Amino acid sequence: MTKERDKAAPTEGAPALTSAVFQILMALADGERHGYGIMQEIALRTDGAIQLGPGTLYRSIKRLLTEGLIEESDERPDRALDDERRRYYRLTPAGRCAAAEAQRLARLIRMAQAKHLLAPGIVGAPDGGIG
Amino acid sequence: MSDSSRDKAIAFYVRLYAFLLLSYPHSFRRAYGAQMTQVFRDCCRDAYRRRGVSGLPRLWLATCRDLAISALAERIVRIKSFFVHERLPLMSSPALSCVPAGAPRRRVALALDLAIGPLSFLALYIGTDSLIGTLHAEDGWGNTLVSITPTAFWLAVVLALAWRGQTVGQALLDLRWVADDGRPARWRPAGELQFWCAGLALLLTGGFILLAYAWVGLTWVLTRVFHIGLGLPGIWGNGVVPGLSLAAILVLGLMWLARRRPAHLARIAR
Repeated sequence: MTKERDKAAPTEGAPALTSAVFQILMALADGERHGYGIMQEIALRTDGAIQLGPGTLYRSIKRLLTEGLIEESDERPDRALDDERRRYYRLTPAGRCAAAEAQRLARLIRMAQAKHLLAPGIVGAPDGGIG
Repeated sequence: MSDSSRDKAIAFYVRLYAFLLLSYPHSFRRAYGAQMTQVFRDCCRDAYRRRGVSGLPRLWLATCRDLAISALAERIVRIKSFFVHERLPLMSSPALSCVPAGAPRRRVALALDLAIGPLSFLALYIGTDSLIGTLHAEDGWGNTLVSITPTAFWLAVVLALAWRGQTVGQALLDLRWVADDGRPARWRPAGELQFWCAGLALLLTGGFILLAYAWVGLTWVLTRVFHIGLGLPGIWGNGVVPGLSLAAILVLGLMWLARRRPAHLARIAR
């Protein structure tokens, strides 16, 4: 992968994001979070099916920072409310384009459904989106 | 379990985790080590709240698996970057002060590598030659072990440096000759313990190999002079005279050091 592509947002031609990276982008879609907050959000959203360890989490964060999909937030919460040493991360405008990855997954599901590889009801949305 | 016992148990696991973070490359550890430790501490508290004391070992096993996989992946990325892209990540310390400021650091490192490179082959030759001799029952295992040790040592140094993303030449450049601050000149490690050990091992191994070959060369010459030329017993050529010569060199060297660098010698003696 070239440097130029590294910095690009995940688009049509870009390689698929790893599961961990995709989950982190989804966790940050609602707002900025620190590392442990990201882990909790992913575990909660997937009913504990995906539980990232600190190593995988920060390797993925490193990759996302390098690719410009997330950035470290300068804002810090009140000291009384949270540990001031925590670092918070948020999506960049390029990171918001991770929706392209979601659309790619939705297209794959539609194709699988058309080939009768998926049981009916797996995809509930009328437009073929992930239900 | 009381609060203090819980805190002690969590602190133990966190300390252990912080120690195991050494398996990640230095740059990764510096950037994310503190955050990873903080996250692990949070996970420990959460596991304890959910499952009590039995939650900690379970969390620990899962975290160890994650740590082993991610540390190995980071190391592979680093080595790949080193070998494939020739991006040779260097420590931030300055080069030898004897190298002119602004000198092309990579060229100096390359020159050092070219100069030192043959030592690897020398070490390999000594080790394998002796091993072959033993396998053919021409030599004893004692001699073989003596010969193989520097070879293994040398290879370990080269591999450790490659793991770190450095060549031998670059490692030597990162040892600084400090003489511009008024204190006695001395070699000083520029970085962390890992690098210091590698540098020391490198110097010791190089010195050992050079000494071994000096001994072999000296005995070869003296045997011809004393034993073949003068007809004296063989021990004069390959034992007494070379031994006395090396002892004399050592004593003269120490005398020179005592005269020129008294503070340095006193520090070694301490």
